[in-house]
Amino acid sequence: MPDGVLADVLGRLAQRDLAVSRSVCKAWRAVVDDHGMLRTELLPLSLVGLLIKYNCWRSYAITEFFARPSRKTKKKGPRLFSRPSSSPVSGMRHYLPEAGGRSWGYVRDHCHGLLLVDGAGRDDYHRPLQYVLNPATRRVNSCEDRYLAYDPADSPHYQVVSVTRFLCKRKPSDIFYDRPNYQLDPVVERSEWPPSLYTLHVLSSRTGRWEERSFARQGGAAGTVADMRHSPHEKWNAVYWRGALYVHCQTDFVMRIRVWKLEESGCEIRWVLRHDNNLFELLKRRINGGVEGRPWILQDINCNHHKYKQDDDSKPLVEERSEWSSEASMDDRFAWSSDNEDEIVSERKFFIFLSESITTGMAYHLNSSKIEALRNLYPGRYDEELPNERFITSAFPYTPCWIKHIGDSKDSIERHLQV
Amino acid sequence: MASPAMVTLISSDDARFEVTEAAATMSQTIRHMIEDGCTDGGIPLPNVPARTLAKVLEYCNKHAAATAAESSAAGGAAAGSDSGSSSSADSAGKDDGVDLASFDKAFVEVDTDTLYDLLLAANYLDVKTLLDLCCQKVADMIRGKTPEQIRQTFGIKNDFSPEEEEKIRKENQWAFE
Repeated sequence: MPDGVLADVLGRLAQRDLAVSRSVCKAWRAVVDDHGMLRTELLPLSLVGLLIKYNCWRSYAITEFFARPSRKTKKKGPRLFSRPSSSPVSGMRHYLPEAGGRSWGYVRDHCHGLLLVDGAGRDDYHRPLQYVLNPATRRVNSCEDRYLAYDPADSPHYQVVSVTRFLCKRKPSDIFYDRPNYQLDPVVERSEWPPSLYTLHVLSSRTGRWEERSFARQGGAAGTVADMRHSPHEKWNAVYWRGALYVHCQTDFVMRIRVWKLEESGCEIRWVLRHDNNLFELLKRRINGGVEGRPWILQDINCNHHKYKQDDDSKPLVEERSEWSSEASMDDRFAWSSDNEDEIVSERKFFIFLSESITTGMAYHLNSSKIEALRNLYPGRYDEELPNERFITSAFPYTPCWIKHIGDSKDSIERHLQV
Repeated sequence: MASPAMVTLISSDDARFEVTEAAATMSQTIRHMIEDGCTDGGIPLPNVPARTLAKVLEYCNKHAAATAAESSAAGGAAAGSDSGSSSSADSAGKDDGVDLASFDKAFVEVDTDTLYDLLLAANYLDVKTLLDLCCQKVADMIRGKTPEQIRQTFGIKNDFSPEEEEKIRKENQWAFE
């Protein structure tokens, strides 16, 4: 095939298919390489830090960023949550919707460099503000709620899936039990969940609209609606992988929602135990002190969080922190995260993020079964915001994605140029 | 009313095809030959065999007719030699658009050898919309496959040594997970 025609064909492929095409034969590899089609450096393949959500009494929650700073602080490269100039802007207020005190609240979900952020309106802190943000390219799209399904290796478009949740029923001893709103329909309570035909609301960034989409259930129901009720404070995470969203649900079943139609080799899904170790014993034996390697530091991305500080020139505690290396030494891709024990499991170089109280962050490396201390997690600037009982409610890995996607109508990949 | 201008095309295996100039000039290559006055005794196309040329002309006839129908519907009179090669599918009337889209879809539902011949012919004859259609079809056939499946689909020989293949795979391990 003439190179020009082959280039025309391959140029229509998503990044994952391009990477696969490269290993078909020498001619194909040459075309992919000569045209610079594969832009791996733009894909969210490396971890730069963790987004940690703390509970908070005055507002609802705060997400902070915990990361290992670059060895060379003047290194050029992807920078996170900071302006390229030396001006130490944090809180990201200058490009957020309704930029101000609380536009940056907490991160509800993360998927391949895209964050689903919950904040509050500028004038009315009780008015919820929800949007999808790519901190790397600073693209923002407003949206509502729920789970992100996004993989720039397959498509520059993302989807937001709103999954039905049932809140706890009140017991006869509870306050307000008698109110009609809280009385449950026994027929609904006994019905199967998920239903055999499950209609979900899905937002597609391609159309910019919410639409109803029906999913046929494969296999039996996990239980009844009554089994699925949970307290409003429980957060159930989801993970997006190869065209499907895996949603952790009440009663510990995992619901698999195919949001993209990708070809699959073999449809059978099996869960395999990949690692089995007694963490408790390991933690007991852990020698205190001794931070290995460069320490991780909690970055003050929320230093403009307070209303009264909106216009002052608050600076992060250490200026150098605003630059981070894109090549964090630890790991790459994440396959699963769960709220249990604040853990995050990365797939390639597996590690679990653990917190010992609110002050000590630790990484448990699954390959070596070793624990690494990551230093202080304590969010120092929020004395007025955090309640006495301070704890971490969830944590997400952050893998910057430099592909421009949000709101783009054509499937093109552009290099993000730093201003 | 004058009958439309006709031209004769000659395939590599000497088959002769008589088509309207409107259909023929969807090919930029043929358009230039007509403009250069090389039409006497037919236009030779030494790179395109009859089997493929017939298929290409089926496409051109359909699209040229749709363009003509659209311009006569829109402008009233001016159908004919001036309908040109500009893309018609986008601006065609709604029914025509749907019709053309389903025609295009069915048109490339062919075996890989035929698709490959069409791709080469569309490239040589420079029929932009047909080249687009074929490239997209091939890209769709690559999507989601493994390297081995791609090789099987298109009959491509693996010219990498096992070590080289392993190395290339490692360079983009993320794509194979």
